[in-house]
Amino acid sequence: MKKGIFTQILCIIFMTGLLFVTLAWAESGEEGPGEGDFRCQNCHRGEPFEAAFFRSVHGNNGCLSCHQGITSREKHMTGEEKPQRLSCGACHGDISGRYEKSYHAVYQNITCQDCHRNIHDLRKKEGDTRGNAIRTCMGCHSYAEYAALGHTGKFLKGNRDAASCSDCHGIHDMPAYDPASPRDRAARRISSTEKCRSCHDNPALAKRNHLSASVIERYGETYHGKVYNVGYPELVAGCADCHTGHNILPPEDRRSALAPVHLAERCAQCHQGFHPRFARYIGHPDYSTPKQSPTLFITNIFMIALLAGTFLFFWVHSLLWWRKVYSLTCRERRGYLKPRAIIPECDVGRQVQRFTLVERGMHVVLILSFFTLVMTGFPLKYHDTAWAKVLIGFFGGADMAGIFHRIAAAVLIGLFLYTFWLSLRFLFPGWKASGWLGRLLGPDSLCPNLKDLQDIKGMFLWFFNRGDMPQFDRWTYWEKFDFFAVFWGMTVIGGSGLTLWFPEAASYVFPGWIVNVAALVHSEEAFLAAIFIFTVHFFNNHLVPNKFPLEDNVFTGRYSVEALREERPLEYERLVREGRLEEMKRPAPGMITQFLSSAFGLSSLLLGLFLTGLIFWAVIFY
Amino acid sequence: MKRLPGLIALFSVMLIFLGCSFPSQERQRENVLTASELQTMLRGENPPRVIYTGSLLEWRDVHIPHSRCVPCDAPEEAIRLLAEDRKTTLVLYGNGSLARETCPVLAKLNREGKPPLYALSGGLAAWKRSGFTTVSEERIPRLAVPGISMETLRAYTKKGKAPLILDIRSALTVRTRPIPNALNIPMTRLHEYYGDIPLDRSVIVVDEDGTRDLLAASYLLRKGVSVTARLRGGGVTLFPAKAEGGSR
Repeated sequence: MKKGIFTQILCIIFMTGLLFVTLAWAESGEEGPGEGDFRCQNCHRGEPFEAAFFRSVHGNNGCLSCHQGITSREKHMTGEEKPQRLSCGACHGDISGRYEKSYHAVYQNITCQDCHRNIHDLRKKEGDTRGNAIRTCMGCHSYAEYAALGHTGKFLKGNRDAASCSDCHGIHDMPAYDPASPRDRAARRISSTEKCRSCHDNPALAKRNHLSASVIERYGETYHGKVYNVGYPELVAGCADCHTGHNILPPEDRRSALAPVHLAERCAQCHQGFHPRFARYIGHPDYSTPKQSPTLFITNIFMIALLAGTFLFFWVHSLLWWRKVYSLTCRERRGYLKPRAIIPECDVGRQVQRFTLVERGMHVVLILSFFTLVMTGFPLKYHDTAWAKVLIGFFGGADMAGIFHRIAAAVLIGLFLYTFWLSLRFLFPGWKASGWLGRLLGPDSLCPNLKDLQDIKGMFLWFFNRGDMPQFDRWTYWEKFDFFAVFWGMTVIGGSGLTLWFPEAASYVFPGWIVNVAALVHSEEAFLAAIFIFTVHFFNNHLVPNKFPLEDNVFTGRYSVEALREERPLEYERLVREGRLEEMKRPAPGMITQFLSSAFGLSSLLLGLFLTGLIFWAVIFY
Repeated sequence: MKRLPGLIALFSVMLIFLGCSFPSQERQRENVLTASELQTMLRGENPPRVIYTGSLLEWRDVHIPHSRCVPCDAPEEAIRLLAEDRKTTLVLYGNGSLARETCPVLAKLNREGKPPLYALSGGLAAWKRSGFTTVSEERIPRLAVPGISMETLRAYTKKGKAPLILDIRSALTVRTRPIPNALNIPMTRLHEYYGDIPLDRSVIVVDEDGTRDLLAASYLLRKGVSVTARLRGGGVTLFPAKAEGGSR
């Protein structure tokens, strides 16, 4: 009973209190912000603020959840109090955070409501987001120029493999690149190119849509692709630079960015001063089939044959030579062979001059420029490897490496021209032609002759224990090959290099695809030159067991009479017969000369072998 | 010694080859501030005067807090007033980076014995990218005005009743690269002279680079002008220059 009375008293006190509060509120004429929800519609009548709003995706929210900052209806009605700036991010924080830094927000000050129009009647859209995004984008972007063409056009026709606007640009996170910033320009190029790659590198997608699956790989074969892949996209053209962003149509379509009428215009975005035929450059060269370009195909076959033939002959030659000399050395040590006669040193402290100071200097310059060319060029050839990026970074980036490459190339071209000049002076002393043929085919000439063929045959017979080692004169056949290989290499690599260096100028003589040919030839010939020198030349002159680890007469300029008599007996006999041996004798090189020669020679040897290792690593594993 | 002339000639040829490869270096001429540095200065004891050099319409649409608008083509008087207080640092900003060639205010202040003067690197865009707050006095809601290409624009102008091309580029740009038969009302004067645009003709808006035309078109639509399109990429597409980032 007592408990019931107590409850009744409490109820009376509560009801009285509630009445007082209600009366006091009504008296003051103030209303709280929470009450405005229903009453907003008293003034903001009609659609979309009534039924449409309550049906919308935001219908469960009150007006004040978005239109914040109104604390009093009276103040709002008199204009004293205005709602704060809308902040969709209050609820959609993640999207808003990304959008605030996107292109549309940063550069165009476009806010949520500009795309999500009729916000009070916003409904959840039927269909997929990608298709809806296209319809929204077309509000500001021309349907005819964006959606009806290329990828989006295919998408709208039902191909869900094709890209819609949002697949490439994103929806709320379209990056805001600063066109004045090189870093942003690079980021933009990377972004667009990677977007293209994400689909065009997909074999299944390519097969479904009858596209070439190797288009990305073939881009990587070009100078553009190599520099891009080695990490310097700001320096070269990415996908969108040529294909543009939206006019991606077959080249036969006049609206395509790659239609013949537009091609030169695309090239002119980066290149200047070219002939219109420059635009016949092939952006995705395919060397494996004659369908695209018979010239490229034939060039590729020729280069493969040249490389295979050269390496097959000389690697077999070197292997057999090594086996022969090694076997002789072992048999000699075990006493099966009579030791070679020790020729008494007849002229202690004096050696024979083989190379002049200028010739030695030329060889040093050749070595330095060649290493520079290899170290700045091969990172582009093997752009996928980790060492390529390290090496190109060592030179200060692709642009600086390019400058080093060109300096070294110019030095080598100078050396080539100077050697050519010396050759002419050798053939025509005092510019007199008489006897030039004798000099050309004579023993002091580097021109191959009939005896070289006999020497090759003799060497192979010696390798197989069918005869003695041939007797050589001043130049052996492999030294003559080295010399002419440099001449051939300089003509081919130099010519193709100059074409790549000045592609626009080359277009006044050749069509644009000559750049593709030049790129292929330059790359393959460089491989041939580098690997030939680092394996065959190194073996013939330094690594063959009786010369290992270094034959330094090309640096010191001199070697002993004994070595002359053993290695080049015909020359020795000729010099003795002509009475010239004595006048060719010089003091043996001093300690500093010997030390510098050995240090430079061994360093070059080791560097060359190290680079060979890197190149073979790339060939095998990439 | 006999070989010296030959070697010099060879060396010269090499230098000419190499000369073709070296990129030209651009000189940095203005004192520039990053958005973070400006933010720090604004919070300091002696905050700088921050001046927006774009149009009033754009400034009202969005600007950096506490900044004022003095358009690039402002009269001499306004610039002299700016230069009077030589103790307060001035920070100028546009939509992007400013340059003397395109912003006479910057050039004139430099010439007139300026107060300490800085330009905001990257302008308003850099400020926004840094995530700092902005203010809108009277934002113009953007309306759907499609952007069209140069080819479509040319096709339009060949039709019977060609649309009116409204060129909102600065007078300086228009002097050097005029668009034939276009009506020029610079963006900085659009709010004053929009009444000169005939209401019975469809209008295509062309700006410098396609970053301000949507704002202008939306503004004009609200004023009753029948804007039908914008030129995508702006006047830059009509007068293409050599693109940067190429191989040379």
